[in-house]
Amino acid sequence: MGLQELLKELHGDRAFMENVSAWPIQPARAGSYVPLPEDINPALRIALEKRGITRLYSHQAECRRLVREGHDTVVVTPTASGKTLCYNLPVLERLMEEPGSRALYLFPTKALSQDQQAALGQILSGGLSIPVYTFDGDTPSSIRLAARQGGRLIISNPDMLHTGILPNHTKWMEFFQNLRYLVLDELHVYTGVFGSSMANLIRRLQRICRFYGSRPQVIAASATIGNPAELAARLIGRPVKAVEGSGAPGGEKHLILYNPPLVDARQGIRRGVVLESRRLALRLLKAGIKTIVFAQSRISAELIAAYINNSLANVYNSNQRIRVESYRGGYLPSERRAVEKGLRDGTIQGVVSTNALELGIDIGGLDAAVLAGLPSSAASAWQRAGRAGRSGEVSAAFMVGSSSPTDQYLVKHPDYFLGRSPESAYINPDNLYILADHLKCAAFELPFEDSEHFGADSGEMLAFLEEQGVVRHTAERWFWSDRSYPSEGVSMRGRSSENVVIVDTSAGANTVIGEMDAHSARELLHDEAIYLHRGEQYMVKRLDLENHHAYVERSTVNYYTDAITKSDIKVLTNDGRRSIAGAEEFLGDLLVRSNASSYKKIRFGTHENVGFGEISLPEDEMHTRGIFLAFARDSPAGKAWEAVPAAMQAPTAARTATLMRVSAPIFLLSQPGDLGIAARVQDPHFKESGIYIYDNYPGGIGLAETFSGRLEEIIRAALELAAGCPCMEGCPSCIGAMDERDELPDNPKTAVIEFLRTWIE
Amino acid sequence: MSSLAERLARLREAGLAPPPRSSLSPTKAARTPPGSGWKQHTELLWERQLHYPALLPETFASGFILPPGTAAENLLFYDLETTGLSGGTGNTAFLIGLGKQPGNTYTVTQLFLADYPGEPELLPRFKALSGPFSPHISYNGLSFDSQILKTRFLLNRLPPPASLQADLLYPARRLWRGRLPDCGLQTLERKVLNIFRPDDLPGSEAPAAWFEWLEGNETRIGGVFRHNANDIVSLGKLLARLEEWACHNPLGNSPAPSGTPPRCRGMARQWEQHWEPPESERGRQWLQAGWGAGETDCGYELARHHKRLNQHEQALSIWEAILAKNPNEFTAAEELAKYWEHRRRRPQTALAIIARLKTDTLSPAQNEALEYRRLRLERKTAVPRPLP
Ligand SMILES: [Zn+2]
Repeated sequence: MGLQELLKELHGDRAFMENVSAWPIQPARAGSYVPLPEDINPALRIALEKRGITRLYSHQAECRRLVREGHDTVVVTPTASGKTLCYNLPVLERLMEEPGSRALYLFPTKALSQDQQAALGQILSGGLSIPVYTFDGDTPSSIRLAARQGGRLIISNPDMLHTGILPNHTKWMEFFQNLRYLVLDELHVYTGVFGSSMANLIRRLQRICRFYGSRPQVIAASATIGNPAELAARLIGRPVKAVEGSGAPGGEKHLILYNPPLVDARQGIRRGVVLESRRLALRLLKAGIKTIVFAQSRISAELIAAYINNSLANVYNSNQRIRVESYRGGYLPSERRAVEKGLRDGTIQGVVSTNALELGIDIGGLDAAVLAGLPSSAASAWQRAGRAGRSGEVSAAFMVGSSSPTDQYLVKHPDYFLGRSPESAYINPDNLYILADHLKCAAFELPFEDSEHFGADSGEMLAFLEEQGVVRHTAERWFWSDRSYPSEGVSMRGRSSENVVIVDTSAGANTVIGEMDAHSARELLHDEAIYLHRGEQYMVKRLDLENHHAYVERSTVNYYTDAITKSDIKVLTNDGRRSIAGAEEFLGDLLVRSNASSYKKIRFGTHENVGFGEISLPEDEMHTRGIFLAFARDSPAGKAWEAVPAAMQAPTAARTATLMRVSAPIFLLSQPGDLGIAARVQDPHFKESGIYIYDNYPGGIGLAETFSGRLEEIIRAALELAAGCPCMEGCPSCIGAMDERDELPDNPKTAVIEFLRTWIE
Repeated sequence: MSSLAERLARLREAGLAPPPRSSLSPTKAARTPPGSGWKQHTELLWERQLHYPALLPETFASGFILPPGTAAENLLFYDLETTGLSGGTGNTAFLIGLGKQPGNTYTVTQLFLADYPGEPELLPRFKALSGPFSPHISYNGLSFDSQILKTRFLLNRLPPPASLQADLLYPARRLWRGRLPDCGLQTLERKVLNIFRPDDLPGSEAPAAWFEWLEGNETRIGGVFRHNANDIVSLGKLLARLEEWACHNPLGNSPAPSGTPPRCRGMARQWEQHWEPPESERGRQWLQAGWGAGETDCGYELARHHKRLNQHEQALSIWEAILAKNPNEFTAAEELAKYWEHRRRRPQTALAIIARLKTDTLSPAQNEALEYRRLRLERKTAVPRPLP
């Protein structure tokens, strides 16, 4: 059965349709083509024709035109629309026209670099000789020299540019002298603190290029976000032209919003998203439809894959010849490559993945996507749904709501969900903390001239660094004067810690089967946790956080484990109290602690709770900067707070916190995850009710302080946002969605608006 | 929003920045560096010469490290003191020591950068002083000092020197690895050259000493000068000691040079760097001496020489001796098995030899190789099936 028939069958299936809240259909769209340009390099034309590329999509041609006219360009395209050719075409053309010229491609992850190397290899195999090298932490030292000297096109990542290439730029002299293009793919991930660091890294790159007399033109590619040209311009510090609107053809696309049926209508309990997604995926797979399932967590990815395979298991016809694999971060690179290849060549029919497959990794054409839980952002939802329908045929995306309030809101308000415009991305390249860090790295790379600019306030900032003793000002220049190698102490991505290596010790073996970041390891790899890995089940014998090892053994128990994490905030220093925007604000150092203290044992299949266990791990601590915004007695905020009925105080505080989290990014030029926000009714330390706002980065990164500086604006914007939001009782765009299991005496949205209004008006 | 200064102060309070260095006193112009003999070359470049009794032979005849017949007067020894301990463009060389022996004195020239802006004078001066000499001899200069210099030249838009490098770290490792706790120059000085520096400033303190000098504090910089000069002297002495070992016949009766003797296998390897066997007679002597003293690695190497020269009986006796000493020596057993299987066509004997090995002491790779060989030998020794 094909997808078309199955969709028809589902449409007629009353039991199924009862759970569908919306089923919009995007009609097929014809492609908009232009012939390969006349003036294209003949050898490149032949190479492209050998790959079957005889014409371009209109957006590819438009991108080429802008690039050849010399504009910095960002191209915004959905998945599967020939994005990489947008930059590969003009870059390869130039590299062929100018035999000395070079290009640098930056991808946020190593997996994407490898993908691009393979894609370029295919074009170049058509008789072009342009040496392409991937230069990252995995590049063997024997190849590094060849890459530096002979690489015309270097594929790397921000971290490698930061710690490896720029601090050793003299080894790359020829490369930098001739650098013509800088390609930034997956531009939309460079947002918030990561994006702010990236903008400074690009400043450093541009500075080194100036030293060598080059000025690379930038070509960027982004998934759909609200402000791609603005983000690109902020990142590279120059105006950027945007190519929007894809000329790629699209098959008919079905989006099916699906809410699992109620099993207990009185308590509002629905069927679980894991089991329901499995059911849907099975129905698709059995009909011969290639399917990807997106799970919200690593555990769900493993569970759904295992359940699907169990249901398919049939000794007589070897799994009905359907092969389903799981895919997530933490697998060995070779395992991931094998799954990707299997999907491309059709030996794997189904994959269950976390967001690890969301980025542009090439897995060929899939017909259907099942989203087990709705993604947090509309952009991400479209990105995942875009995984289906690569081939221009009919495709379908099933979005299965979980029981979370946000999911329930989205699935019940399809107009809101579908009409939601994509989020905008904000960065702040002049964040003082980030700027100070990168200024150090830049001074190491090249002394600063007095007349030189590097973002805002660089003169004053360098004077500050001299006071710290890391630079020396003399003869109108600033010299690096510290023995350290500064980029080693500066992380591009904020929080970073060494990964925990997972070692299988079954039957005396000692095999590394994967790795995991230390933070997640506390929840998933604690002693006696059941660790699921590619359909195999392991029990953790010992988690050695100090040496970054987890020792596991095969196991056959009938449950998996789910850690229960608690967190709290401890005030370390109190640097001062001030009255601000009608409230009292305390600024200081905070210790944010989270602790996985116990775990639940959950039976496979039924998901019933069959026991508990203790976890004894040291607390995961983060020392950071933050503020406590107290609704102090006698202050306007305090008076407004006292007017909130007691039963509504906790939900009002929590929702006000959520509202602030939603409103802040545009003021802080951050992304929501950069900031930690927690509401407190009668905080034990301050003996007042209020809200903690802290930097979600060790040591702090200046966001909470900026928050405090713009508090009044943020509160007004928050109030305006809530009051203007068309929802009834709250939604993910304002105070957060209502939990259908909550029983509140009043409408929480009215309560929050009332509270804020009384506070500031 | 608070002022930049306030916000920067908060950065510091948050523990992100190191505590401020002691107050910055402006550098006094043209301070003379501590120690004798300094002459101001240009405003920020100082230079001095120190003289020592000759410590190199007039020519290096052996060909052990340098090409045979290299004259001492052509050599240049050099060592840098830098502001950082790893590579990268932010690491500046502030002191360059050069050693030469033009006649019957060994001279050490030191170029001292009094502050960063003097670098464009320092580098050409180094080039002028070092250019006519070759090779440039260093300790770890191949991967460190020469790379730092190259970077400094490029950063100042000057063509880097294209000098031939002779890095003594590599022969030193070949000769003394395993005999000494480490192969740092200081360790070699003590154990191989019998020199002890009583008041030496550790090289790792050099960056701090220079930063202090820049701030007007001269207490430690003199120690860096002495340390650097001593390094240059030790480099010369080390090359001379290596030549002594090169000229020593381990099978003869002449007394050995003083200091910790090198590994025989290492000496042979060093000879093999330039001389292909079997002409490398010197190497062979060391292998024989080592094997005579019971060093198994020398025995194996000697046996390999014999095998290559088709002297199979000699090779055989060495492997047998090794196996007699240690019945579980995998390589000896394997070589013997190869010999009996392929050269003498007696798989039975070969099988008996490998059957005596205790498999639990072998590595997985060895066990795999052994299993493969065993199966083949068993096939060969099986009674042929009668034809139907
Ligand atoms: Zn709303």
